[in-house]
Amino acid sequence: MTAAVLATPLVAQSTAITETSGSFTFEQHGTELAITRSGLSCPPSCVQPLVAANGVQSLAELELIAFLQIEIGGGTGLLLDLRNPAAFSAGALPGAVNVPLATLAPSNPYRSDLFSALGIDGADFTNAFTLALYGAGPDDPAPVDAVARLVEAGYPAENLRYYRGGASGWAALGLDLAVPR
Amino acid sequence: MGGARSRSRSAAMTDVPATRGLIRMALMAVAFVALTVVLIVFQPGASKRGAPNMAEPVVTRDAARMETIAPPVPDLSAAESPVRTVGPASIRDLTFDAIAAVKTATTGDAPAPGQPGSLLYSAVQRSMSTRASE
Repeated sequence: MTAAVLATPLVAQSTAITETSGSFTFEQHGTELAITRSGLSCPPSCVQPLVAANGVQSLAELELIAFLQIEIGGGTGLLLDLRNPAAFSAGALPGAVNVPLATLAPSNPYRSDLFSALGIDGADFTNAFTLALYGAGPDDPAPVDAVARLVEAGYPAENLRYYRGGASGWAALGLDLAVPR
Repeated sequence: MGGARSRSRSAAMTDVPATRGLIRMALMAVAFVALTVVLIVFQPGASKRGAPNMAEPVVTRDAARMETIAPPVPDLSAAESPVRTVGPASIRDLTFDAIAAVKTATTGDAPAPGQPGSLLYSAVQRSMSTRASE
């Protein structure tokens, strides 16, 4: 038993799918089928929903490319990478800016300085940039948490975008990752 | 005849101190050897320098408990990924690195020291607001 546990790679361990559900079952023609998951432990690496919050638009790759062309090209949007600096330095989506999730925490005493850089003047969000947020992948809760913190701070939900695929989803399609300078 | 007598008398007078010196040296050597032998034989003070007369400690050994030798096997099913913790100094660095990156992306230049968005500007503003509130 012990040898079997130690011989099994950690990433292949059975883990929960979401924070509240370890597995799912359904019936097909009277046969019960189960959905289980193996990989990084959940939490924190739980499968994330498509919609991060009410009013926040979710993007797939083509919509994100359009966002890069229109919003970032037009100087009205920013693509935020919420991973830690080490992961960001290893490879990020082109045009992304590294804003780790911890910097958006309400307990961060310097958050107002960051909000000022994002175009927020006190409680005035009229000049706030349109933000597209992404993390490591579809099981990274960082973008969803960041959306919650920004909306809680008053950031307009219509100015937020959520790219659920993250860096791993982008790379899995063969799209380029840029190494930040 | 008289000259020969006086010569032999003076020679006898000069031999007496030399003989006494030899006897004195011999006695000192004998005393030294005797004292050395006495010290070696009796070794005064040897009992004080010796180890104190303590009862010998008793060392016993129980049979090893085999169940305590085997290390406990961690429950890997409950293992979680390491969570990155951010301290006060690093959160400041993270935030101002992020601000510099945002400024670079939006204006093309990172904020210069003292300009809005820089750590110096933030520190000055905080200091001024703190003084104003006092």
